[in-house]
Amino acid sequence: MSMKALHTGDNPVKVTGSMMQNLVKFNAREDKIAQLDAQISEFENNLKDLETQKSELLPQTTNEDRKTAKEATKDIKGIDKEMSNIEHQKSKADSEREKLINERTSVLGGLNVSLVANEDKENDANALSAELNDVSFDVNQMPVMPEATEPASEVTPVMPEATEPASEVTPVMPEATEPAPEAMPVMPEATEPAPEAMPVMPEATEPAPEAMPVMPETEESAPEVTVAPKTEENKPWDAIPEIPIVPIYDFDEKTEPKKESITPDTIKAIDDIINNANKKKEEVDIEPMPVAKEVKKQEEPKAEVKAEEPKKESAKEDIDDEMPEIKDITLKDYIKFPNYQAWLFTFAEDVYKKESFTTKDILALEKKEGFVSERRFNTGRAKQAIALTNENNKLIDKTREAIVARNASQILAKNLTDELNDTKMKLDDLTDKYENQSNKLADTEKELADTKDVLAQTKEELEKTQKELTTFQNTFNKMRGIIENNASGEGAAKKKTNN
Amino acid sequence: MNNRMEGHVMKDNKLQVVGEQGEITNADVLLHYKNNANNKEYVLYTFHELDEQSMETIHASALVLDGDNYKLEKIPDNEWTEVKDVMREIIRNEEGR
Repeated sequence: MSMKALHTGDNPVKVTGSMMQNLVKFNAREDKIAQLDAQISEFENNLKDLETQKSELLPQTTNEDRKTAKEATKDIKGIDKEMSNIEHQKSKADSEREKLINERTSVLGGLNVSLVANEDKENDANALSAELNDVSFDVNQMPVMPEATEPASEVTPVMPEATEPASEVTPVMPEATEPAPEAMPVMPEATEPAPEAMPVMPEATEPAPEAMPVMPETEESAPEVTVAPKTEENKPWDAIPEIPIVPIYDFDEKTEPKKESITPDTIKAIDDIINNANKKKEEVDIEPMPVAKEVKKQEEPKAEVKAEEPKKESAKEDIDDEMPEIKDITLKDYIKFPNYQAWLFTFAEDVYKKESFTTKDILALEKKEGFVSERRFNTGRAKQAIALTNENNKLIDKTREAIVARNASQILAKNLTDELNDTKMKLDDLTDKYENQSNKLADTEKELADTKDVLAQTKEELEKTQKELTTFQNTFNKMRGIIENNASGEGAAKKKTNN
Repeated sequence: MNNRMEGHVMKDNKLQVVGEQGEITNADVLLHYKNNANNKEYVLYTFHELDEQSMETIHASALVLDGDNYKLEKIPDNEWTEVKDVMREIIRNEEGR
């Protein structure tokens, strides 16, 4: 619904966009003030209602029935909470309204005018308030149906006797109007992956093989990876998503494909072989093992994996030092020794009852037993490690390139942002200048129009005066003619008389 | 200065301007005030008409109650100057804010 008015005339005036904006701004403030008035009035009515409810509940807190008293106390607490909340909102609305009123006063300055606002809005608000007041009156005087808070089955129909004591009024649960904040399911766990859910790599628990080449780049490249600390200056850069940087030392553990070559199945297979070998060993009833005779034969081609290569010095001495009684060890134990090849010789001699074994024999034996020697294992791991290192290096290079590209983008973005801000500021200045000039122009136009009006009026007056002057001059000429005629007539008469 | 809200029904700042032939045109009310000196009310409204220079036309009328209806009347010259002064003052002061 809008107001209707019959148009019989108006005074048009043209304004610039900025002038229009200012009028709209002024108008919007008035709307906001009207809204706040309505809100404040509603808050006041709500507070009145709650105050009434509270005063009704107060006597119940001393009720002999502990349950009733407890419930009343709880309800009052709820009412207090809601009242405090409403008061807070009202105070906020009050201060905002006051601020807007001050603004309005300052804009209107010394003008002797009164704003005529949307009274209908105010009327609506007043009607609403009156309605609410009526409801609250009913609450005081009439029994209230507790439909909002209690299930219908529990509602006891109460005859609407005006004399009924207020204590029988069913308390309105203020909590029902607000969603309980506690009810919000907050699941902080959901945002973090449960650590248990992380797949645990069995290899991760193993110490890295000594043969694994350590990349020198790891230490050196760290500073490059470091992201510049966020300062106020580079805040706009925050918009650029950072490239996630994977710590280089993580590559080995996380992406190493070695776990595919050594699986629990492989370990189980090795265990089976060892167990089988132990069985065989028991079957042949081994005597305490003598010191290995063929230790010096170990001239195996182990040079490929230097880090894992058994010591070149007398292996025998090592064996002498480390060798326990044969009864106490199994093949599984042997592989724990760094120079277990020597032990393997001894073991093979013992199990297969041969005098001596060559490396070739041992390799054949290993093949037969399905056992992968530590040497081969290490060689494989070393190859894998080298491959991984290469891959790692490639990734590092790519990361570096990405970082360089990102830094370049960030610098470019910053420059562009700076440029944009400059342009924006210049544009703002130009807009201000344009608006000022437009205002001046509008003022000048107005003055010009006023001057034109005055000029037109003056012209009209001038024309009128001129017309009057012409009329006067005509009259004057006429009079003059008459006077002259008269004078000449009189002269002729005098002449005649004289004659 | 009296800023008390008083006046007429004008919901959502809309004004239905009824022409001589009964045609209705909707306008947005920009300002509706009463001059305390002469007790007359004035309405400034717009149909959002723009010219080639993007200048917008604002219409100003005196709002007069005629029986049960309202009429928008042309403002006499002496009052029009005052209306323009009010308008200019508001625009200037709002600009500085």
